[in-house]
Amino acid sequence: MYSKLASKWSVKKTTLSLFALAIPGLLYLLVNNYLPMFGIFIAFKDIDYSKGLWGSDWVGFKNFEFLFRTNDAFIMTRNTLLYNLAFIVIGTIVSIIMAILLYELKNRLSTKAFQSAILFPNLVSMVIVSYLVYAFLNSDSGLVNLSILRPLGLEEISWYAEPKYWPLILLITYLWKTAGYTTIVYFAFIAGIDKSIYEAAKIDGAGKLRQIRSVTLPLLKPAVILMVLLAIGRIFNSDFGLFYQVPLNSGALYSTTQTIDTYVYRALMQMHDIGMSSAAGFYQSVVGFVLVIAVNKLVKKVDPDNALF
Amino acid sequence: MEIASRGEIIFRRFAFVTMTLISVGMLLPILLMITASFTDEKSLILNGYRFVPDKLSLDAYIYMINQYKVILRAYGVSVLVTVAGTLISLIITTMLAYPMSRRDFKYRNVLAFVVFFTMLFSGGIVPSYMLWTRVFGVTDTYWALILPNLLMPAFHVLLVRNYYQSSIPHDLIESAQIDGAGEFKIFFRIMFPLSVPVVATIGLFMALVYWNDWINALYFISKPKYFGIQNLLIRMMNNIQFLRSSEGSALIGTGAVDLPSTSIRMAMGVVGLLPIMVIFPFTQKYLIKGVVIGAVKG
Amino acid sequence: MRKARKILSLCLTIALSLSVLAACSGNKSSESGNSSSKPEKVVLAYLSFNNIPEDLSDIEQAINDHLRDKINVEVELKLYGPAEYEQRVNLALQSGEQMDLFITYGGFSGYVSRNQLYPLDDLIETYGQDLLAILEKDFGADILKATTMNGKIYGIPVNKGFALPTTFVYDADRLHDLGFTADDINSLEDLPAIFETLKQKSPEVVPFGPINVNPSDTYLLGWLADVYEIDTLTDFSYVGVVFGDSGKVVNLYETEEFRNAVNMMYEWNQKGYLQKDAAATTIPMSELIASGSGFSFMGGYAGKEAGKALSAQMNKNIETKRITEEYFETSSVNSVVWMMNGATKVPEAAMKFLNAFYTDPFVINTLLYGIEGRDYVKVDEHTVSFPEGKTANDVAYTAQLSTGMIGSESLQYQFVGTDWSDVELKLKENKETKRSPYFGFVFDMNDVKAEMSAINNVKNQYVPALVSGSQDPETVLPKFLQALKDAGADRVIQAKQDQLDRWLEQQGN
Repeated sequence: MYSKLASKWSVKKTTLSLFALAIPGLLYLLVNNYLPMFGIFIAFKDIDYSKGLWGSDWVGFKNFEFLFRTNDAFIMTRNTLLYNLAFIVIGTIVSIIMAILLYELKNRLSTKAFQSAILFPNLVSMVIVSYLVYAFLNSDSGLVNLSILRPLGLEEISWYAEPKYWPLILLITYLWKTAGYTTIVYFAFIAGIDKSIYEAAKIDGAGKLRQIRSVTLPLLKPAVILMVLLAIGRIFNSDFGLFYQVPLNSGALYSTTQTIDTYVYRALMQMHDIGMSSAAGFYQSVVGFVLVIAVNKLVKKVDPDNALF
Repeated sequence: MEIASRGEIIFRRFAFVTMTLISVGMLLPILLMITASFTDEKSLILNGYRFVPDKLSLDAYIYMINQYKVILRAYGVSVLVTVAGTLISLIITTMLAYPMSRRDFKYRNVLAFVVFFTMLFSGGIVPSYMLWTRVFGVTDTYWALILPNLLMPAFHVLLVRNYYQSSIPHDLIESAQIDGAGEFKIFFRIMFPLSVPVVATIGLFMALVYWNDWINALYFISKPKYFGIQNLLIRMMNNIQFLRSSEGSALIGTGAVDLPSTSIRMAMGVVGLLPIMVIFPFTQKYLIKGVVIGAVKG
Repeated sequence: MRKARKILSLCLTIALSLSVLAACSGNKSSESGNSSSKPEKVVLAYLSFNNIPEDLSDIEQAINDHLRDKINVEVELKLYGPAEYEQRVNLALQSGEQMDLFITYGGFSGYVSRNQLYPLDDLIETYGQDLLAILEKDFGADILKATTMNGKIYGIPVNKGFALPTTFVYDADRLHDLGFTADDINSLEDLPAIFETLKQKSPEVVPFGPINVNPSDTYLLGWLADVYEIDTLTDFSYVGVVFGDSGKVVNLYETEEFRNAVNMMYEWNQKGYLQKDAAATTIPMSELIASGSGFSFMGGYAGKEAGKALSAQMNKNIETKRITEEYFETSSVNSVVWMMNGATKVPEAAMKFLNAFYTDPFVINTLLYGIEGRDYVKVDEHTVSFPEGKTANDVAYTAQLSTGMIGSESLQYQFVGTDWSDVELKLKENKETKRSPYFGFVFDMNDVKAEMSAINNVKNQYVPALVSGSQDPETVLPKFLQALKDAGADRVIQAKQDQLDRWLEQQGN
């Protein structure tokens, strides 16, 4: 009896002190993230400053209308989804391959050098990236037209007027800029894997590829699920710099470069209507939220250990 | 490390060659940025960008040197904010992640959800702005550059949690508990030191977040005293874009605007990258070291 | 999961109460009617294209020392760069910081329809008589019609030369090399002959290009508006304009005039007078000219001395030639407007300051050029320059490029190199330029917000390619018109027609 009580008390104490550890972070999230969420009500208001933000009239879903006004609604939703899917799938595969290659080098110096090299693009601001892409692609003096297509006798391409090339261009730009970062995340996880597991596999006669397939990949699964779930939560969002700056806001390319974020930005540039911009943000969040909950449920069913919550 | 088999050696070579190719490919555009910053402005516009510039010019860097006071101070701001922000952020992140990793902690899923939810929903900039400026009064202080980013990539918390869960045996904690250690002691004496690999990685990422952040300065800072290096760059770029737009030319009436040239813009980009090029190899040392500790420990 | 919800709801309750507290403490308004001798503080946000200085306190002090005894008002200055200005002002307004006086470019009617502004009629009556006098002298008493909505005055246009006729800007040395003179250029139709000669003689030079980029703009729409006396009804989407005094709102893009103009641009582009991807270039023509590989562009310029400033900027011998007459509509005047925050706690003080801001040469020139002797020196009655050996980059303060935004142009010093006679010409043109019969009508787009945002998007998508001739109007124009229809162009046109009819009725009374 006595010992039962004691253990109950100690469990409680453990819980309390664990909770105490979490408090600074929780307080911060409360202030920085949860309090401002009440601003969401703005999405349902017709803002009239003489009445104040809260005092303005409720207008239901009227602020959401502009998102669905034209045929563009379909194009921008399609683009956002397809690009994000491509980024998630191809980005994950490329990063994992690079992380495994990095790990298998087993050479400190070259690992270090390669890590630096692939992480550098992540440090270049999107505005500079757009200048670099322009340096490669502009039709009058770009590197690709002048130094590659022309010497080869191929016809020069007016890149900024041809929407069909842009899915590939944006995918490459995206991978160039972000793959290094995710590679290092995966690399850190692989490096954390217990070496003795590999030794055991080796003793069992598993070759390198076999080891990767039956040790590295399964142990990476939690990390992959985490990263993919995160990406899915933002599937209706897009990197504004990538889709706005890099194509230079070229109207001819809208059919393949318009995403929800660029549409909203272009639409609101002249309007300064926080009701409408809150509505757009709310819409993106809700869809992302629903998708994540759904996917997490799925993960939980298949593989309960790796579900997010 | 014992003798590697033939297959392993081949694989290692393959990995080396592939990574070399990828790395070179990734560095080429950066090389282009550097050469562009050394290229004569007129030949940039006339002949376009080349890896080997047809007419060298140091104009962009001379312009930078003339601005050295502004640039040095901006470096100072960026370094201060990066170091302070990264340290605070690491402590809060790991402290929050540890309870979430404990399978015997009842509320771990609640915590995970509370963290994760912040990545999906945000109230938009206006409420955040009101809160930080009117309740906390961060306008024109270093806090404005540090606070809003502390847990911004909230997924770092989840990364650390996953690391704790998958790479640190639960026995360790249990034996410490049997020895009578409290949770705080377990965390600071055992868990934190053991999480060096992941902390090194995340520290690096946090440092990048702080180093590359410009948006907070755009919202909260108007005194040039607090401009970091990215902020100088982005302000310059924004102003150029604005001046080239119809709004800009309508507002400016008549007057000659001295737009920084393309090569100056590229040079600014290089200046923003430079410290990382210099510091990165050193931080790498700790990153690798941490990774080795993590890997050897098992 | 249920527990999670419980805890979440607890957190949310705490959060809610905290945020309510925060909101309350923010709204604590102190009654400002105290008539003590302590000067009231007014916050003014202006913008500068020059370096933003470390510290504005010496400028504030100079102005405050000058004004304190006269009007018992002190000003606090906020100075932002052009790219961040609008965002900073909007954040301040939305969050309720003190921000009493601010400026907009083209956003006037939006501020009115969101109810963000303070009506100025009574204040002007009491504190703004000098202001009225100078507006009347420089433009005419009707200028405030352009900033009147719903029967109230909500802003004061910057008082400057408003006539911006379409002007052809070119590299004069090159023109003379080709054997032409300025006299050969009198209309847009004269240009192809020159371009053709240029193409023959120096094929590597691009004859013509956009004045602005991102999105590209060749000023073709501005030219159309001048030539056909088009009133945009204060909406630069050009969907819903009125030709002359017809009183009928039409879609500019559906008109014969627009079709002919873009066909001409397409022909020019086909002949190589513009860069192939002029619609997406990031380099405005002025920079091509500066590098020696461009020849000309067009734009709207006030006065006739723009060539001097442009020459200095491009380091070339640039000349300008007007090719149209200006046609005044409301937005000619109300695109750059000073406004008062509707939530201001110091309306009287702000108005007193605004009065000085338009009529006191010391205030105007201190804001523009800084402190005499330190930041600028006087050359003669109307002209100033930087002190010996200084430039815009190393004086402690200058906002010398903000002349189009500060007070009254007729009280500003001119920077050395600009002739005073040009200011006199601008003022004369203010009086003489033909006014649209709908001058004073301001379109309120609040009812068609969703349509307007969709239309602007469609416009960005198609117009740059059309006005730079990069795509064939034959195929693009029908698509463009259909997309406009889908975006709700008809509703916008109808809304404008209704508002215009109502406005005309009121004017009749």
